[in-house]
Amino acid sequence: MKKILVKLIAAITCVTMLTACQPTPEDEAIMSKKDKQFEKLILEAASDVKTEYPESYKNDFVSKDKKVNFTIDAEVTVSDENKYPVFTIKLMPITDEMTQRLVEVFLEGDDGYYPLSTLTKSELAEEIIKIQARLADEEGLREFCGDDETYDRVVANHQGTIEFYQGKMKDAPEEKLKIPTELVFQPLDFYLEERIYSQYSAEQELKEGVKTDESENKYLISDTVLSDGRFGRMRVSNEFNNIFIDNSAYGDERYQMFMYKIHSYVGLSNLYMDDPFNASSGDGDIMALFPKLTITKDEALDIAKNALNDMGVDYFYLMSSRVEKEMPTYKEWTQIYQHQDELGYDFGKAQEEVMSKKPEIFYIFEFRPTYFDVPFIPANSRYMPEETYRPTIENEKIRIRVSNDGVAAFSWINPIEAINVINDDVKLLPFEEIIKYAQQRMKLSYNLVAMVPLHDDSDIDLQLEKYKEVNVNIYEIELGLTRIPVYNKVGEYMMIPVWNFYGVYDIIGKSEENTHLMSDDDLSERRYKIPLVTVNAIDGSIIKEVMQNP
Amino acid sequence: MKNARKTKKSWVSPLFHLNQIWQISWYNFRSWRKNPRIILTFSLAFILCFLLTDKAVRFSYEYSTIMQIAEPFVWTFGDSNSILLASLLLILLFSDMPFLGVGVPYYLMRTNRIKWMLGQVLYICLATFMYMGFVLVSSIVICAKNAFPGNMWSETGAILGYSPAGKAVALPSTVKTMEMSTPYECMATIFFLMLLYTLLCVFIMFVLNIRKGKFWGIGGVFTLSIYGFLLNPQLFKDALKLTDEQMYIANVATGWASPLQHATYHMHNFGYDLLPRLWMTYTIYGVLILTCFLIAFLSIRKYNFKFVGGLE
Repeated sequence: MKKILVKLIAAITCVTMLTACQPTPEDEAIMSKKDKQFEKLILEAASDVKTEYPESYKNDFVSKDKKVNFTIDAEVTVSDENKYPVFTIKLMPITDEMTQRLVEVFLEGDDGYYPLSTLTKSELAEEIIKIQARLADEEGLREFCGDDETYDRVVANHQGTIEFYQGKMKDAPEEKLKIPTELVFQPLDFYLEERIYSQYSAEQELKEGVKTDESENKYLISDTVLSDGRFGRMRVSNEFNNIFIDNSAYGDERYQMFMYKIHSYVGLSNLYMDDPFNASSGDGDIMALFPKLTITKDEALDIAKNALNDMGVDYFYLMSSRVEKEMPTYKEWTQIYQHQDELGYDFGKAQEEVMSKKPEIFYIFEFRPTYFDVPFIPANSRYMPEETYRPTIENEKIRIRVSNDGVAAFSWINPIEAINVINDDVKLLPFEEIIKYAQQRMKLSYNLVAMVPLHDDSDIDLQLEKYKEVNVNIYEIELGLTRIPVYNKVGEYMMIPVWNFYGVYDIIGKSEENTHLMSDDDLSERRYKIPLVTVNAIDGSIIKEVMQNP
Repeated sequence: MKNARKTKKSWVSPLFHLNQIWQISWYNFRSWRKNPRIILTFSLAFILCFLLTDKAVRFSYEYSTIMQIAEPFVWTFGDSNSILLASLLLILLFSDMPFLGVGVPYYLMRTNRIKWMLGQVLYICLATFMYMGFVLVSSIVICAKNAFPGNMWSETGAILGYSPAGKAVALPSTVKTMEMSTPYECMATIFFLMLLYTLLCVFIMFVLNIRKGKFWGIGGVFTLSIYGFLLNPQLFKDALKLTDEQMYIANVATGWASPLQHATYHMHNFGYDLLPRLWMTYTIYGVLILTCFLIAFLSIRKYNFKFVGGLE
């Protein structure tokens, strides 16, 4: 055995020596976060002499695989104060007072009512007529359903609904039951149980007061009819994994529950339906009810900003804006999927082409907060459920939809507040070093494999042969704050200063079919500015936080 | 006087007991000489390392970058499927457990059942360690030509970690693991995790062999492997009726419930999630292995030795 061991060791030594290793590089490719180096750096205060940043920066370089050409011709954006804090944050509970302030603006002075879904006799009759008309159009319904099996199922459902409504007809009230809400938070049971939804006991129950645990009061749901005749719906929640209640258009006992991955949410929409953001493929006809846009973008933006000011939420800045068209109908979705196959699985292009004829109905403005006069800028990140191993929260944002009738929808997701300022003016790395780290990272991170659309179902090498190169244009470099998780404290976050390198890229294929030019897009119409790389301004490490949503 | 003589006679140096255990263990190693099963196991292990590390080597050549010498091992065996394949080869190595060779009756006459069992346990531990060491050295030797020995992550690692290229070629390199450790530290941890997982497999096989027979022993290891392989977040998602946003619950549950995921380096908590920490995994494996050892210790007393074959 000893001989064998000696022979084995000798053989390994010889092989290792003969192979001759490569020399060790001088620079580390990945910055170590061991030994709490970062935790020490965030305590270092900036010097009294403020760092000067250039107004613009220019440079060209290529990626490691020599297939991606980078052109930086960027404006450098820093805050006026040039003072960057580090602080821990927590979600700000939404209070009754806060909600009432928002409601005053968005309900335009009208009263809010409990979301009672009981249909009146005339409403039930109307619903029955509508469904009967749908069933009478057999050809249209068959075309909508696509196949016999679906058709039979839909017909059976409709007939069931008619029977259900006919059964309700006898006890249905003549007039709509309206109970004004005090706009205070209630426990979920309050909305789920029969208190609200049962038609006749609701008023009495509300008068007597609901005996529940105060600590469970996390939900606030309210309906209203505005003085101009529009219908409004408000849903506010302070519950993790929000459970929103939607009493659907069909009426009592048919409500649904939706779950979101956000901690808290202020949502208010004076629209026909609950939340147009969640409109599904079958709701194209509902979206078609909204008026076509005639106001200009600037007018719409003024309306949105005025609404924010009226609510007293004045620390938000405009992050992005876009126009939204009517939702595709069922038929159009089918066309998109078919067209996608013809265009080599390019869903975006297929959707754009099919949707080009649809009318525009909203301007959507997305606002991000500023903290201590420094803008919050989302990091380069992706949300991948399969790689997430802890609860996550979406970044704070306010989204406002403006139609011809004014503000059509408002949502405020995850309001947060600073709880502990660790350093009110932290020492940052010089701009030259940030550029060095960013370029190093871009050279390594961006290659043909990373940037061209690839599909799992065919050979990657064969797919790569279709593409020639990628041209990246960095047009803005911005210094702001972003959120990172606190080490060893799951669920806690801190804000730190980071540099975002925003850019667009053109994929040049060997044929026109595989060429995708992003630089042709109107940047102002983009939903988000895309940070190609986010560099920690304190230590130069790369922020790649998969937990954050854009 | 009589009593004193008795005491003197019954006292035996602990080294003597250890030597006996070592001799029993060494007896098993002697059977390795020109043993086709052992040669086949190690040859297959080398081929496995060659095939599994090929992706990393090809990737570095394609990008004209070099690697750190431990990285191919880290990327290859940072993946649960590779760990599973490597551990299954051990079934071949230990298929004749509990090693009832022709010399066993002589050892049992000169020692006792407990010492014999401890000898087998020592052999199992050493053989597993040697096997895993062979896998580690093979991975290093195969890739050494295009690698550097310094204790820092390479550009190849950075490309794999920071871009989707790693995912495209199925090399599990995550920034999380690279930022929080050095290559050699990472290599040592992965080696230790693999060693504990394979030891657990082998001990389960050993216990079942003693209590139920070889069929159950091999069946038990396969069952453990299949359980680890099939247990995935989707199962938890369906069972607990989770939404996409609650997928983290399923991911974390898999990380805790699967012994194979415990052996996977990146499926651990490095300060930012709810996965088990490395020390927790070591403790879990330690307790399970110790439990197997105790069951074997209790079972060996009633074990019915059946010897086959004749004198050499």
